[in-house]
Amino acid sequence: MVTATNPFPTKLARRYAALAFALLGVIATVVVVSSLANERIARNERAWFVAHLDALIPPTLHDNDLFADVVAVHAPDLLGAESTTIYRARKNGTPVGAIIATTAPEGYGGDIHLLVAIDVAGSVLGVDILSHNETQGIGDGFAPHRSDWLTRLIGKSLSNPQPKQWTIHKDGGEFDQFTGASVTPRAILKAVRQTLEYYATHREEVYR
Amino acid sequence: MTPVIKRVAPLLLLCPLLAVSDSLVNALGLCVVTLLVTTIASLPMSLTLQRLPEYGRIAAVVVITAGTVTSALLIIHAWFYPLYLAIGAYIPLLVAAGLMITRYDVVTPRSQRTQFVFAGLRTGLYFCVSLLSLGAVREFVGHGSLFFGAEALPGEWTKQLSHPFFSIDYGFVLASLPPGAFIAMGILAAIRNWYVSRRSPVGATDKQIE
Repeated sequence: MVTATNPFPTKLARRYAALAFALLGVIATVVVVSSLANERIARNERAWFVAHLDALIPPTLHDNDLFADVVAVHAPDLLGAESTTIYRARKNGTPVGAIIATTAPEGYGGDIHLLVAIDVAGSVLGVDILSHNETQGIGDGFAPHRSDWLTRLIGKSLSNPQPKQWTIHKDGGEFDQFTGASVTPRAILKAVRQTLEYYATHREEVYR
Repeated sequence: MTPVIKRVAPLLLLCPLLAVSDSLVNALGLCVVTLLVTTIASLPMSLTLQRLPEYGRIAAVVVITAGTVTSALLIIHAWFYPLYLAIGAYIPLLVAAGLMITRYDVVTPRSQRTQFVFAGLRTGLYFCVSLLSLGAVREFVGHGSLFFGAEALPGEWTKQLSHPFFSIDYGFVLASLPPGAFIAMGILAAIRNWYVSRRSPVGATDKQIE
């Protein structure tokens, strides 16, 4: 027993028993919590991602499971250095579009991870930014609560606008830059255009 | 610890968390988590620390804090996913807040064990007050709103909380960037010091934040 006059028992074993109990207690708690939580976490992550996919290609347009109908591709020149995933949408087995996960490496704060949804003919169905590191309040002008910039990409394709115009006003293109930020929109537009190029040249592989 | 360090240390520990205080909702979410973590962590600490020699305490503090914060992160990730998306990246930083408890005298007699838990609660509360005032000021100045993104908090009623005052485009962007956190904290500390020194002009320096 610990008494007020002698707060530390002299025997080493008793001292370290307390430490050992604390360690074991903490480890046991973390193990129990993680075993309870892991399955829910995986389900949450999946639901979050599926919600993003569904926002790009509504479930009414296809009858397959986007999350399961995937192909992994590696195209360092067009889709970034990492291997990426393509989610295919089909109705009655016929392709209706694809969502390509890609990376814009030239963001102001490094990589911008995005999803580009393309219909079967090759025009943009929607663009979604999954994660980014752009300056808050300046470089995040694409964020849905700030502007409709991303929705303006819907319907664009490699021929509309012409390839030279596939950039911001400042570079002679037809898209707005953000106030005080041109690096971010330039990087996003380049990534979207390259994704369209990949789609145009690899359509066979995309739906195989 | 010398008195100066003792007074400055909590401010330094606040620094990694300044990033979170760019909006009231993030600050509020983190506040609740901090309160729970510091209070819960202080319980096993009060039970073990007094039995340990001085050199063993730091190990116990680190392990208990890390374990509590890890469990909190897992629970939020699994059961409060929208909140996780908003503040999940910052929760590991709470280890700093947990360690802050230890600046209170760790060797408390058994009869004062509840006081230790209250010390944990008090640390969390001080921390919350700073974080919430920073969050409110920075969101209002930088973003022109209060409670933006309140739907991340659990419950139905939170959806009506978000209240814009003026357009984001007229916001003062610096306020929501990390340097704005330091500037806002400096201003808030200055206001507090001015208030304290006005109330008790003699010997007021004791209570000032340095």
